[in-house]
Amino acid sequence: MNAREGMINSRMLIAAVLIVAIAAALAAVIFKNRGDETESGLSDEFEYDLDQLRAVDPALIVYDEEAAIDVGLAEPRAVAVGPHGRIYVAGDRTVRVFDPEGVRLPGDISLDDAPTSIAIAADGAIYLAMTDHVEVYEPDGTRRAAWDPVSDETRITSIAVAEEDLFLADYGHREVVHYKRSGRIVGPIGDFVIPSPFFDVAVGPDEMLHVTNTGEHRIEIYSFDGNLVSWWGEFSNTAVEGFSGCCNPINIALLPDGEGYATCEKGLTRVKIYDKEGAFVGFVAEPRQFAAHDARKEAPGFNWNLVGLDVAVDAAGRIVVLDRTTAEIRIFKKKSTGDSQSGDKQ
Amino acid sequence: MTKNPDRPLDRRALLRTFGRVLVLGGLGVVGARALQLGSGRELVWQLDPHKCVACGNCATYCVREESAVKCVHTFAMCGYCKLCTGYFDPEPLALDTGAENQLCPTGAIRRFFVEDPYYEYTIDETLCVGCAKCVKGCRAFGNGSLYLQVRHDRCKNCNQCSIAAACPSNAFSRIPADRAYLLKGSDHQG
Repeated sequence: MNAREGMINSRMLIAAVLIVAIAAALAAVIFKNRGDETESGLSDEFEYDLDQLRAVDPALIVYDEEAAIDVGLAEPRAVAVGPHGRIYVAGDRTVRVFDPEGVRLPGDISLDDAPTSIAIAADGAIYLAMTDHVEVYEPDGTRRAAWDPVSDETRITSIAVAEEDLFLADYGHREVVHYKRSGRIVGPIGDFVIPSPFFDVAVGPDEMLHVTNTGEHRIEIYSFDGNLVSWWGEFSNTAVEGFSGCCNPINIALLPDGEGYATCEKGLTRVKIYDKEGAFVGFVAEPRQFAAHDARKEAPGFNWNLVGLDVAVDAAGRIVVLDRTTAEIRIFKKKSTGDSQSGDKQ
Repeated sequence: MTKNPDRPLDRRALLRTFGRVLVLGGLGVVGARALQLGSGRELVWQLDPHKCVACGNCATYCVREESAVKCVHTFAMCGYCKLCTGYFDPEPLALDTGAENQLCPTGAIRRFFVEDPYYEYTIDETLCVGCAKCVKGCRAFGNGSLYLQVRHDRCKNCNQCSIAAACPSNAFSRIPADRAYLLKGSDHQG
């Protein structure tokens, strides 16, 4: 027997050790780089974390989600509910109509420009805000009128229509503009603190004007002739009763029979219900239900024109939320008493 | 005398050829640099605020001891909020300038009263470390008027920027030095 056959070849041993060392070095470099890719190495003091503020007691959620419908628009801007419970969504250069169950109805209304807000009169007339002016459409989609621009600096973010009057929230001037439905301008109302381009106005069954004064974290109630009647609301990031961040609520809708409000917030993306005195009732939807909205907002290159929620209420008291970011209508129905007491449904 | 192509180069000819290549190469580099400067195409690193995800890497990956990336503020986009979410902690004890109420760990944002209820916010770049905590706060609730930029009075313009290599959203690129900043405009809403 050859004595060399039982011995380890020293060259092979060196080669094996080298291969193992190179592989270990490569693995260390690859995994180190991957591990550090999103780790800044900053301490907790530098973290900005809203998770604790987003957490909500499930017992406070008093609505169930009935449906989520893709509206099929690239930039949906506003939602309104019209006669027969029809849901109108304005966005891109279109008004799209859905039945109360969320089924899309034929006959989109094509527009010359992108709408910023929509309101439907009791007789079915469609009023559209178009950045600086109003356009009026018949219920069948025929254009009836295009009013003159309010001014060069006007940026209309909301429109509300009453029996004979019409109101615009003008973010450019931080004031509400009062019109008659004929198109005659009556004059400005109020002086609001609006730090970001969300400024909403709604008309209640009480024939009063309800306006979001977002920088003051409150809702102000005016008579049609411009007198401030009352207001409610306060800031809080920690107490759910308050409105969060710099400037909320961004949009509101009035519940049927004037029994209260549905409010939308940004930052802590959520929809809440208040009674007519401004007392907190509960959540329609809490921040974790808008996780997709918040995730898209954090993505690189996000189109900030799409941030935020709009809200409308139908005659049955269902809350219709337009999520501009995910381009969905989400319909919420009040829980039955037994459900809301159990507090275990989301 | 005719050259024989098969004849090997002697040392002198080799050095002569090498010298010519060196001179021509040097002239090429100088010429290209002159052309670049002449056309204003000198490039510098900058980050696109629309791609930035405010991850915090800018604070720690810069080769400088103090990052060349700083927070900047577009006043035209700012809401001049009384309750600025880029300035105040999410759970402030009071809306005043007490250190315990401020979001910035280094106190780099200054708050000035303008008129009720408006306040102006400015960045003290000597204190800003580019951590982007205020950027996140401003974006979460506000208009996104606070954002990061590479400050070219500090940047060494490394051939390979180490922050760019660590940026998870590929927000860094080299842009012409004569337009060295990517500032947000008033069209940007949020």
